[in-house]
Amino acid sequence: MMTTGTILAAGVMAGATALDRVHLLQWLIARPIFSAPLIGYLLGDLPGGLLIGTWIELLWISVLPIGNFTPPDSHAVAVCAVALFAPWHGPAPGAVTVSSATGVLAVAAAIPLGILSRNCDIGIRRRLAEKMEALMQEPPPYRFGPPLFLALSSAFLKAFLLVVASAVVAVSVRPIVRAVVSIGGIRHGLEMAATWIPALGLVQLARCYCGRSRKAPFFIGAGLAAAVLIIFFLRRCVVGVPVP
Amino acid sequence: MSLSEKIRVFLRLHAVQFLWNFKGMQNVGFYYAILPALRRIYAGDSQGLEQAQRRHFGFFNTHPYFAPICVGVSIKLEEDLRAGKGKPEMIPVLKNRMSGPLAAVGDAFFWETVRPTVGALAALSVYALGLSSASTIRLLLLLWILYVLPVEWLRWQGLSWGYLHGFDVVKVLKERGFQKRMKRLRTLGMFLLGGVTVGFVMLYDDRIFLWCCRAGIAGLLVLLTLRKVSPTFQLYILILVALLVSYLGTMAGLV
Repeated sequence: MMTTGTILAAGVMAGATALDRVHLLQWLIARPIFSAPLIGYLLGDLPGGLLIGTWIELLWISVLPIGNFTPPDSHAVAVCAVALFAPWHGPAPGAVTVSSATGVLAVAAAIPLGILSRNCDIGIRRRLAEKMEALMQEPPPYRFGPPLFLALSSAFLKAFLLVVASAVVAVSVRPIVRAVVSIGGIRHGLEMAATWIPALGLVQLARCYCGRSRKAPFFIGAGLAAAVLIIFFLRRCVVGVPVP
Repeated sequence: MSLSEKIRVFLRLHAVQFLWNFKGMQNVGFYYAILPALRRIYAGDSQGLEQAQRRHFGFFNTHPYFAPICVGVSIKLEEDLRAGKGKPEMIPVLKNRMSGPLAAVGDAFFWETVRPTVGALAALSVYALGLSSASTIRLLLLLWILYVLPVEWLRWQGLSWGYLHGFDVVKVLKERGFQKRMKRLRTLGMFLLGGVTVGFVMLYDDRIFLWCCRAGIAGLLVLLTLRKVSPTFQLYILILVALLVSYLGTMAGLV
């Protein structure tokens, strides 16, 4: 059940986990697959957090923070999407079971927030670069407290505010979203998109593993899996054993 | 380097990117991590300490898990300098000459191989075990621990390798076989990916129309990826295609 307290707790958790993305530890806590369930748990929707986290992890599995490239903020998208999804998906009068359809809508709505967050990151890093340029001219010991405060507080506050704002907006537009998703054609289309999202992850992962230069193991794996599944289908047809 | 100093440097290395910026990148994190060692080396020599601080406040960027190696090597070089060996102006040059290759190894091994593998296994466990299963959470926790423990080991050992071996640390890394492990992991990953792809196409249900849709979608995504369309844009295309297929399928009575 979402209350002001749980929304604020989710905001604080989002802010804390955001620090793992670049600033501290790099223990993967900020990866969507781990941060989204945490936010989902706090908002009373752990399965929703797992579902959203899995999709966003797969979506940006091959986007890498190399050099001075600033990737889209997958953490912000994950925590915001969960904050949007929890009220849309949660119990309410006349609610229908539309978990995967509302999940797709939540992810699609949260992605622009991730891009906004990335642009904020770039702006802050430019500001920090200016401060750093001035700091490098000074004699040691270097007093980097103010820029450090700017870096950490901006990362924390950005995630905190995005989650709180997403949750508040999600609650206010909940009737509209539920009305849209309850339209049969739209719901079915979104549910179908939800079943296709893993394909996006598979392709991105293949790109990560340099897919074209490792065709043989891919096709061996595919052939073995196809053989196993065909055997199961044949068994089902002949003796009625269900496919796992 | 005493154990207490090593622990202090090790803990500070977790914040090597805490002030990442376009100008010096990890310079402040590196400076913050090496500071306890510099204070020990230049105890009673404030001018030497000031010069050393200047040397380590310049541009620095490497993979965060491999930064301890550079810090270890730099501590060794500073100790040698204090003992009268080497030139001070060479330390930043050598440090940065080392950081590039280490960043390349770290990015390829951790960011491009291990992290996506952990993410994919976590996603697979969610799909295989279900959203409401306690086993899913346990498996996610296990995967997280299996990632973090070696990373922490590498950070701790990296500091020691850098300090003990200096520039010979490259040999130590070769012995550890990061490249070989990465190649094996990628090959295994592609093998599993082949199996999961077939499962994706065939396992949801057994309606041939939906099999064809999913196979077609996988092909479309491969094509878009080869044409360098961003995954974000691909997701929106996917949603639009799904809505269209749903509409057409309903009209034709296939869905």
